[in-house]
Parts: sequence; structure tokens; C-alpha cells
Amino acid sequence: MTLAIVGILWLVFVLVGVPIGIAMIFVSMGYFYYTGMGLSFATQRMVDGLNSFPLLAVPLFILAAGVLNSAGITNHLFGFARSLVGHITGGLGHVNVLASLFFSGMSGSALADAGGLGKMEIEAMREAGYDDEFAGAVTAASSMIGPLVPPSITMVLYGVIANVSIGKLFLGGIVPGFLCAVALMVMVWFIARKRDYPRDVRSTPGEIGTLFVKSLPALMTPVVIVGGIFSGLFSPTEAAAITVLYAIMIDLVFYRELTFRKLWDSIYDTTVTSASIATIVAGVGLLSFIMAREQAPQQIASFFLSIADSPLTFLIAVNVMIFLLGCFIEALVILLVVVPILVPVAAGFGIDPVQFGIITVLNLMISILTPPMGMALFVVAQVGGIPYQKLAKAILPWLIPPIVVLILVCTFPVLSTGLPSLMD
Amino acid sequence: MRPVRKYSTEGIVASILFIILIGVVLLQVFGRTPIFRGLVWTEEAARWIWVWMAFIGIAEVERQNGQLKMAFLAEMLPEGARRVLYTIIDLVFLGIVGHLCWIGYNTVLRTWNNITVTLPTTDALLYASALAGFVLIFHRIVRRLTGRRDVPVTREPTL
Repeated sequence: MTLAIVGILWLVFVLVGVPIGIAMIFVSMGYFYYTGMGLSFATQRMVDGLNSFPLLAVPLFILAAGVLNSAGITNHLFGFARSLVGHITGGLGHVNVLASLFFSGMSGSALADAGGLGKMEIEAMREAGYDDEFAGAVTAASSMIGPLVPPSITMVLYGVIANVSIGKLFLGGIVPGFLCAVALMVMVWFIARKRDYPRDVRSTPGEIGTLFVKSLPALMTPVVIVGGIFSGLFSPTEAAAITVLYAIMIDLVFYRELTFRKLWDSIYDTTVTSASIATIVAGVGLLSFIMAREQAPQQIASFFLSIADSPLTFLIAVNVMIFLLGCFIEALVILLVVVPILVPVAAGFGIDPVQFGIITVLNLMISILTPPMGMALFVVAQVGGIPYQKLAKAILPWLIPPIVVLILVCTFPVLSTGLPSLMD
Repeated sequence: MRPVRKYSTEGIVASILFIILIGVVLLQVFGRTPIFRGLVWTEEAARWIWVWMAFIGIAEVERQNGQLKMAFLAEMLPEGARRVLYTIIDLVFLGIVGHLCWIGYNTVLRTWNNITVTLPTTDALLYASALAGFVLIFHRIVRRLTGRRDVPVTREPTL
């Protein structure tokens, strides 16, 4: 009962305009006052919630994406993707998906992808005669590949809260990420054929080779990250710092578009964005204490045990729950507040924590596409100059490909656990 | 309302801490060579710098009024009512942050003699980050309440 009151109060605070992290601090402090526990440990809990080495990967990967965006590397990736698949039916739609796949190997954020590549992709599609709704929907849908293919900020956070190897999560996301790309390209092909969208003239091998050479340093980023982690050279946090260094180095040597001012602005913006996330992490540090004290995991576990009798039915129930929550609540909040309660329950059902992590991340990425609270839709509407209502309607059929992949990942654990098992 | 200035002292300090943090993590990677063998303090230092960066950075987020929000109901209110609501929220927040400053101060005193694992200092330095952050946040809320309200910055989450 107390737990429900805490949850409802938090939701009310959030809906009336209290920032999400601050609302967590409000209700936690209220709970501590009410239960007479005292508050002497409050700041300690908040500091301890942040005092985590794996968590450092979050600002570092955000910065890496910021540097890559500032350095104009996205132009080269888009050009290379266009030379490869621009001539297929629905050309620029495929280019959009492939460029997102390339960029996902450098950036761990769907919204960095939507913001960084989105404007360029939508403008190119608009000029070529694609309608805004299609261009916006495919841009938003393809951005969800970002956190599936390593590096991934979402997986770093999941790894921290669920105490799961981030390296294994990175590897586990590769196959589902590629499956999502393929599923989206199939969707593009069908729609483009029906609407008779234009396509590019096929590029010559020479043109492809030139663009490949230009893009190669950027395309090597995931190799550096995964190779470094997989070979034991560095941890995910260290890989994130290496990615920042690598992004700066390749710009200095090859692209030469990054200025000192752009770099400083990227650092400044990343600092502020990271601090904004840190507020929520600190709030979760307090809230998780209440959840443990009120035995929330046990209550949630008994609820799921009453409705699910096998790992698959549990996963169906969890996926429906996250999907519905994702329509109204920010994905970051679901990840930090709801998922930690579900992880031990999933373990109780014998579900591999890496598989559960990939399922969660995939579902959260679907949630950034679902209106009314679809963050990727907000970003794409903003950078593409497309009315949000139009985009919210146009995105609906694009939910089918990732949902199909989600079902596959739930049904066949090997899709997410096959590559990580190579690390054992 | 006036447009928010791009930089502030808190933001600049937090950003410099971030640059130092990157340097320390890179030092940890390249420190695993025979030249630097024995750099055992880098992980703890990186964590502490991150905590300091986060708390000082939160003050900058407050200056920009850029915390992550989902204010469906608040946005439906008329301008005047919304302003009253946000003022009430700020007043409650001010009270809580004031209390947190006091708790933070006591935490620093309590941990004054806790020796750290690898750094030549005590845990008080780590917990002082929260105290410093709350004092700065308090200052920013007071400025907001006393009419120095800037245009809020829209900040998307980063997943």
C-alpha cells in the first residue's frame, strides 16, 4: 500500500511539472519523514548511487557521439550508404536505415542518431520526392538501431543497474540490431514499391571505393570498441574514453572539420546532459532504498508468478507492460525505475540476464517511437520540420518490424546470447 | 524572460572536471604499460571526479531550467496559474535542498576521518561534492524565485 502511494505521488508530481529526478527526491524525502527514519543518509545514498565506474561510460559515449556529429562524419557515412544501396527500390529509405546502422557503431544513442543524421536524411528524401511522413517515420524508426549495436548508453545503464557484464550486452545487441535493420529495409522496399518512390543511379565500384575510403576511419570505431573490450584490452568505460580520443584523432587526421569551439561546446553540452541524467540516477539511489524496504521486488515477483507460468509468458507480460508504460513514460525512467525490479524476477524464471537486457533495450527503443511520449518522434519532428501529429500517425506501421524482431529475440534466446557466450 | 546565457561558472567548472575525467580514464588505459606501472588510484579518482562533475553540473542544469520533465498537466494551465504552480514547486524544492545542504554538511563531518582506498584523502572530499552541489542549486533556485527567470532550455534524454 505504502509503495503504491509513493508511486502515485511520484506520478502526480511528474504530471504537474516537477522534473522527473526531483520528483523522486520529493517522494523519497516525504517517505523518510513519514516513516520517521530520519534523513541523515539521504545525501550518502545519492552520492553512492552515482559513485560507479561503469556509469562513467554514459557521459563518455554521449561526448563521442557529440564529437562525431560536430565533426561532420555523418555526411561521409550518408554518402557511403547512398552509394551502396541508393539504387535499390526505395533507395533513400534504405540509405537512411544503413546510415543509422553505420552511425550506431559510433554513437550509443538513438536520439543522437535521430538528431545528427535526421536533418540530412529528411532533406535528401524531401528533395528526391519522398513525402514528409515517410521520410520522418523511417528516420525515427531507424534511429532505434543505435542503442542495439555497440556502443550503447542504454546497455551501459542496464549493465550498471542489473549488474550484468556490459561487454556481453554489447555483443548480445549486435544480431538483434542487424535484424532490425533488415526488417526495416524489407518494410521500406514494400512501401516504396507500392508508392513508386524514386531511386538513385547505381554507383560505380570506383565511386563506392572512394566513399568507402573516406568513411573507413569512422566505420572502424565499433571495431575499436568491441575489439578492445572483447580482447580484454579495456573495460567498457575505458572503451568509451578511447572512443572520444579516437573520434578527435580521426577528425584531426582525416576530416578536419572539428574546431576548438565545436569541441568545447560538445563537452559543455555533454556535461549538462550527463548532469541531468545524474539527477535521475541520484533520485533512483533514494527510491531504490524505499523499494527494497517495502519489498517491491517480492511484490512484483508474486504478481508475475500469478499471471505467468513459464519464461515465455513472463516475457510476454513484461513486454506488454513496458510497451504500455513506454507510450506515456520516458524510456530512461522505465529503465532506471521499473527494470531493476524486473531483473531478479526474470532471473527467477531462469531467463539469461543478457537476453533480458537485450529484450528490455529493444522494447525501450520501441517506446521512443510510440506516441504520445515518443522522444525520437519529438526529435525528428523538430529537426525535419514535420508536424508531430502527422509523424505520430505515420510511425504506427513502422512499429511492426521492431516488434517482429522483439518476438524473435524472446522466442530464440540464441539470437541475443550466442555472441556473448563466446566471451566465456 | 530573457534568453539563457550559453555558459556559466558552474558549467565551466563541471566541463573542466569532465576533461580531467577523460584524461584520468585514458591514463588508466595507457597506464597499463611498463612506464606507468603502479597507477592504482585512477579508477577511484575518475569516480570521484564524475560525482563532483555531476553535482556541480546539476546546478548548471537548474540554471538552464533544463531538468527532464513530462509536464502534461502543467502545460494545460493558463500562463498565470502555471507560473504560480512552478513557484510553489520551486519553494518546496528550495526547502528540500536547504535541508539537503544541512544533511550534506553533517555527512562531510561524519566521514571526515574515513580513509580512502587509494587516494591520499578522506571520504569527506567525496561527500563534499553533494554539499557543494546543493549549495549551488539553492543559489540557482533563489535566483529563479527572485525574478531572474531565464527561458527554459529544452533538453532531450539521451537514450
